[in-house]
Amino acid sequence: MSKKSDPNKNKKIDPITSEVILGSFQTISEEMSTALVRSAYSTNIKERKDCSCAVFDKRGNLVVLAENIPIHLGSMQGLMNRIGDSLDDWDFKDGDILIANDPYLGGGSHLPDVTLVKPVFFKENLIGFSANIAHWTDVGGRSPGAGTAGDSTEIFQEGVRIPPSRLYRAGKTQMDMKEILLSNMRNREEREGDLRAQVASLRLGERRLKELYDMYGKTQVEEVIKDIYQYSRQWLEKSLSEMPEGTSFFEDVMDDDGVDKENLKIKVSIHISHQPFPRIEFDFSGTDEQASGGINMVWQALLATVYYSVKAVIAPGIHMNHGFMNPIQVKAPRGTLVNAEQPAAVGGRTDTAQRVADVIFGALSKVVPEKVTAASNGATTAVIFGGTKALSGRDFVYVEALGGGMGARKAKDGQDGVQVNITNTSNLPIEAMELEYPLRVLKYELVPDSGGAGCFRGGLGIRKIIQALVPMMFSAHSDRHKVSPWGLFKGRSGERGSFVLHRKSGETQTLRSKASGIAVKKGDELFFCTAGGGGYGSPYKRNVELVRKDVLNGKVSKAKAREEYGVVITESGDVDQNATKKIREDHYHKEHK
Amino acid sequence: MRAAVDIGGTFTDVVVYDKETGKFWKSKVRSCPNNPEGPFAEGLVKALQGAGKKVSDVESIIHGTTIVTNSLLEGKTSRVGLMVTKGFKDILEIGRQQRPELYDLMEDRREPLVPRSLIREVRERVTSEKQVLTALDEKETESALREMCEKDIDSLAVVLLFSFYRPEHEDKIKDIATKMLAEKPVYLSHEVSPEFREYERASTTVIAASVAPRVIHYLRAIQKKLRQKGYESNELAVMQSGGGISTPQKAEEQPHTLIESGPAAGLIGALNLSRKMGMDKVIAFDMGGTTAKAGMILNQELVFTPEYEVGGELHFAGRQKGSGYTVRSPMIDVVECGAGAGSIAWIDQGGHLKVGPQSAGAVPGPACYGRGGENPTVTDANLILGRLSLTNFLGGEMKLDRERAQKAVSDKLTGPLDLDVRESAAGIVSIANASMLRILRLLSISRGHDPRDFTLIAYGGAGPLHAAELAEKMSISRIVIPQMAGLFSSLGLLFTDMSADFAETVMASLGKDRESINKTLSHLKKKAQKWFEDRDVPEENQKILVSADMRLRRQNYELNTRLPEASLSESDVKKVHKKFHDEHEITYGHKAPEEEIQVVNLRMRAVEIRPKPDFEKIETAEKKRRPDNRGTRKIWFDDKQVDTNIYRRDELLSGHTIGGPALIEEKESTTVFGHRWKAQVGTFGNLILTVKIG
Repeated sequence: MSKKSDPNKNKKIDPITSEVILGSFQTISEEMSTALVRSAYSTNIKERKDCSCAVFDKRGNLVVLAENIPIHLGSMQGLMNRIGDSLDDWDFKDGDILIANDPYLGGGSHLPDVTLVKPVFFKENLIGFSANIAHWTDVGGRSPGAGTAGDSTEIFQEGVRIPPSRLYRAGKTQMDMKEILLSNMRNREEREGDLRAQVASLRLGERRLKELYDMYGKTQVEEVIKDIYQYSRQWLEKSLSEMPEGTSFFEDVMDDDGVDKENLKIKVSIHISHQPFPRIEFDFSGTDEQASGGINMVWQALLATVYYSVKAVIAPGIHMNHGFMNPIQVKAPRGTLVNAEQPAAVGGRTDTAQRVADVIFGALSKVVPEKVTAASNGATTAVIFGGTKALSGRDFVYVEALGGGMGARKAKDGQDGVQVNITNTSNLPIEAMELEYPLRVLKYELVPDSGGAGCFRGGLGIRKIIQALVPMMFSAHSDRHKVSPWGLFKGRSGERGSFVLHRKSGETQTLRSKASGIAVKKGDELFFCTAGGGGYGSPYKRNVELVRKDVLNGKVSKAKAREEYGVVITESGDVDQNATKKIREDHYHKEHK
Repeated sequence: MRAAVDIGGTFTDVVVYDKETGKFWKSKVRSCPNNPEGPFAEGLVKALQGAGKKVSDVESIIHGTTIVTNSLLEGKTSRVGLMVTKGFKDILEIGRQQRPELYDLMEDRREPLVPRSLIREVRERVTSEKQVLTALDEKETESALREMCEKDIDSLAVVLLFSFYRPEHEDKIKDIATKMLAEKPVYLSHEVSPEFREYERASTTVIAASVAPRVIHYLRAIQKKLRQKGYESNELAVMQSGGGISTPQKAEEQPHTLIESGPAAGLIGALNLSRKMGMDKVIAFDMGGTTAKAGMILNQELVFTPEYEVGGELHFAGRQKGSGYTVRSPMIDVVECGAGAGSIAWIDQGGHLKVGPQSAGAVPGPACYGRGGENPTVTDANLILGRLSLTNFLGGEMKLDRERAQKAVSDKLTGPLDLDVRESAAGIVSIANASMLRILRLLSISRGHDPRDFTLIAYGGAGPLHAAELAEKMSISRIVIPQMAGLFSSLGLLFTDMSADFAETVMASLGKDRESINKTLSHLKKKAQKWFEDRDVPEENQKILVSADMRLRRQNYELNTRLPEASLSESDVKKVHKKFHDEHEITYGHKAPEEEIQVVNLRMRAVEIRPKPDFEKIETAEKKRRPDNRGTRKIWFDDKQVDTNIYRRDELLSGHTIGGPALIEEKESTTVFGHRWKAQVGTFGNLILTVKIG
C-alpha cells in the first residue's frame, strides 16, 4: 500500500519534490519532539514522553503531528481553532509565543497539558504555526499533581487556568505572565526547565519550517500541503465507502465519578453513509449528564478520541491532518459526560476517553468485527505521588500512567501489560524512578488470570507495588474497579483493577479508583492492579496448545484453564486429552440443547 | 599479506592485500550455512593462490559476518534462562509498556526472546544509593539454576537492578552458575551494558545470551579451521557494528556488537571512498544475496545511533519501540530490508506477487544455478531480462541456466499472474526495487534529506545491477560503482582499526568533582594502556579518544562530548563546560549556562591504528575515449528490448567514457544502465555514472 501522495493529481510539482516536502514536515515534527523529550527536566516528559508536537498551516489547520498521545491532538487543535477564528485580533508579530491550558477558554483537555504555539513568519508573512504540548506534573491546585486527580468537583481545584495568552511578545519574555504562572505551581525549577525545553522545541520547528520554505518556495510548499489534505480525505472516504451503510449502537458505564455518582452511562450511535459523499457520524445522545467529579470530557477531548478511534479501526496508515477530519461528524449534547460545561472538573478525563474508544469499538464490532478489539483495561490509571518540603524534606511530584490488558481480537490475543488506545506513554524505568524520587518499587509484573477468557484471550493487567521512603501525598484516577471490561462474541470479561494501601503498621485499606490527598507514611506500600482485557470468541474454542502454553508461562492457572477453557492440564504440564475432550463436548451439548 | 573475509548468507567474499606489491587478490565462493568455516578457508586459499601465496604468509585476517543478524531474523536463537531481581520477572515482556504502532490495533510487540517459563526471580536488592538492601539468597539462586538446568537452557542472562553500581550479586550468580551449568555461557547485565534503565539493559543482555552459543561455536570453528590450514600468525579480528574491529574473545563476550558486522564493513569502505573522492552527501547502497542495506555518510562522517531495534520488519533506529528487539550499543546506522539477489518471488493469498524475505540462499540458490532450486528469484528474473551473462557469471566459474530460470517463473508465477515469463520477470525486479526504494526513502526523504543532493555508492554482488533504476526513481543523478564492487564489504574490512571501548559510570558534577573525574579517567587510562601492552602496539600507532556522556543535572538524556585530554585541568573544565553548552544549544536549540553539568559516563576508546591499503591507479586511456565492446546483447529496459553493448570492467582504462545503454561485466558483479546514463572511468578505476545532459 503506497503511503505517498498521488503525484499525478498535481502536474505542477514533481513527485520527488512533493515527497520530500511531506517527509520534511514529518521530520520537523519528530525533531521538535526529540528536542523536547531530550532536554526536558521532569521525568514525565523526559522518560515517559508525555508530550506531542505539531505543525499547523496559516489558517490553523493541522499539517503534521508527531504524537505520543493521541488525545494531545485535541488540545493543540482546540487552541488553534480559537486562534484561527480571531487571527486579526491577535495581530501576531514575529517572536510571539502563546501559552494555554484551559479546557473551556483555551481549547485544552485538562489543565496539566500545557500547549505552546508559535506563529512562524517567512519574509514577513505568516506561514503557519509550530506547536507543542507537554503534560506538566504540577500546575498548582489543591494537592500535588491535583490537575490529574480524579475526584475534584470544580476545575478551580485542579490548578491554574490559562486562557490563550502571550508568554513572549516579539521575542521578549512577558515576565509578569511567567511569574503569575510559576508562582502558582509546585516545583518551580522543574517547571522552568520544561518550559524552556518547550520553547526551544518551538524555535527549532520554526527554524526548520523557514528552511523548508526557503528551499522550495511558498507556492510549492502550500500546494503540497493542499495535496496532503486531499489525499488523507480521499483515503478515508474510500475506506468508508468500502464499509456497509447503516447505524450501530453501543453503551457501557463508568464505575463512578469519585464523588457521588455511579454507573455513568456512555452511549454512541454510529452512522455510516455513502451519499452524497462517504462519511461517518457519531452521536453521543443518551450519554449521562456531566459528573460531579473529574471524569468529564470537554468537546476537544471527545473529538480527539473519535479521530483516534476512526483512524485505528478504519485506516491506521492514513496521515492525520486537516483533510482526515473532513468526513467525520460528531454530535454530543452539551452538559454531558462527553461534552462538559464550565466549571466541571476534568482531571481524570482520560479514563473516560479510554471508555469512549471502547464504546466506539463495541459499536463497530457489529460492522467490522475483524478490525476491533474487545474492551481493553478501560482506564489510564494515573498514580501521583507528591512531597513538599514540610512533609518530605523536598518538593517533588511523580506521575505515572500504568498500562493494562488489551482487549482480544478476532485472530489474536490482546497484548499483555501495554498502553492502549488514547495513550501510549512509556513507563518510568524503575532505576530512573528510584534515582530521582524517594520511592521504591517492590514488584512490577503481569497479573495471572486477569485476561478475559476467549478463543483469543484478553491481555493481562499489571501489578505494581510502590513503597514510600518518606511521608508524602498520594492521588490517582482510574476506572474498571467495579465494572469489568467486556468480551466480544462469547468472550469473557477481563478482571477488574484495584488500589490497596498496606500500612507499615499492618492495616490494609482498599482505596477508591479516584482518590486524592491521601497521606502516606514512610514504609507504607501501595498495591496497584490494572484491569485485564476482554476475551474474543468462546473460550471453549481456544486452541488447546495455546491454553497449555499460557499455563506453562504462568499467565493462566490450571484451575482457570479447566473452569473457563475446559482444558485439563496435568501435573507434568501436559494436556489430559480425554478429560479435555469430555468437558468440551459436554459444554457443546449444553450450549446446543 | 592481510586478508579480509566477509561471510554473507549467499556468498563468502575474500580480499587479500599484499602490502609489498600494493596489489589486491580476491575470491567469491558460495557460503555454507551449516559449515561456514569451510568456504572461509576455501575462499582464502583461492584468493591467495592468485597471489601465489600460502595461508602461512598471511599476517592478519579481518572478518565480517551476518551470523548474529540472521540468527535473530530467522529465530535461530538459543534457549536462554533469565535470572532477575525478585518481583521483576516481567521486565522483558512489559518492556516500556508501549505498543509499536500508535494506531494499528493488529500490530503487536515482538514475543520476548525468553518465555516466562524460563525466567526465575532471586531474592536480592541493591538501592539507587548503591547500598545492598537485601543480600543475594544463594540457596534460592542454586535452586533456580537447578530448575533451569532441568529445562535444558543453552545460556544464562542475569539482570539485577542497579547492578551497574554494585555488580557483586551478578558476579556471585556467575560463580555459582559456572559450577552448575558447566560450559554454558553466562551474560551479566553490568558487563554487557553497564548503564541505567533496566529494560534496555535486560534486552541487550538477553540478545547477547541468545546468540552466544552459535557465535562461540562459529568463531572457534573458524579459528580451528585456520590452524589446520597452516595459519601461523593466529590473528583474527571481527568487525563490530560500531565501526571498529575486536578480538574473537571480545566478540564472544559481546556478541550483540556483531549485529550489523558485514554492512558496517561496507560503510567503512564507502566512508573511505567518500573521503578520497571528496563527497559530502552519500547514500551507500549494498545489495547482497539475502538482503539489501543502506546507510548514509554526511560530511565524510558516518551516522551513529545509540540504540537499535533488530528483528522487526525493517531494521532501523525507529522512533517507536517494540517492533523488534532493543539493543543498546552504539552502532553505525544501517537500514536493511529482505530483498536480495536470492530473494524468492511468490504469490500471496490475495494473488499478489511478492519478493522475499525468504531467500534461496547459497543452497539450493536461484533456479538458474541448476543446483536444485525450483523457486524463481531476483537473479532468475535478471537473467531472463538479459542482464546477467549465461557464461560469464563469476568469471565463468558458474554457468547459468536460462531454461531453468524460465521454468521456475512459468511454474510458479505466470499462471496466477496471468502474465508471460518476461513480464513476470520484470514484475519481480520492480517489486524488489520497490522494497529497496523504501529503505532508501526511509534513510533520506523521511529524514528530510533531498536525495537529489546525494551520490549513490552502489556495491554488493547485485547493487550495481539495480543501482541505475533505483537512482532514477529517487532522482539521484550520480552513482559511483567502486572498484571491487562485488566484494566491497570485504574490502572495507581492510580499512578498519582495532579498538576497545572502556566506560565507567561516575555521576559526578563537572564543576565540583574534578578530582573524582580525573581518578576515573586515570583508571580508564590504565585499562587502555594495558590493552595496548597486551597487544604490543607501538606508541606511534596508539590513539586514545576520551569522551563523556553529560547532561544538565535534571535531564535524563546525555550528550556525548569529546574531552581534551585524559586528565582535566581547571582550564580544561572551563573549555568542556563551554563545549557542552554549545553542543546543547546546537542539539536542542537552547542553553542554560548557569546550570550544573553532570558527568554520567566517562568513555575511553583505545585505537590501534592499522596500516591501510593504497589503491592502485589504473592505466590511463591514451587517445581513444571509448573502449572496445565485447559484443552486444538484447536487454529489456522498461518494456523495450534494446541492443546493448557489453564491456569488461578489467579492460576499462582511466578516462574512458561509455554511453548507455550498456552493461559492464566484472567477475563478481554486473553494472547495467539505460540510455539516460553515461559512465566515466576514474583514476582509481571507479565507475562514475551521471545522467546525460539533454
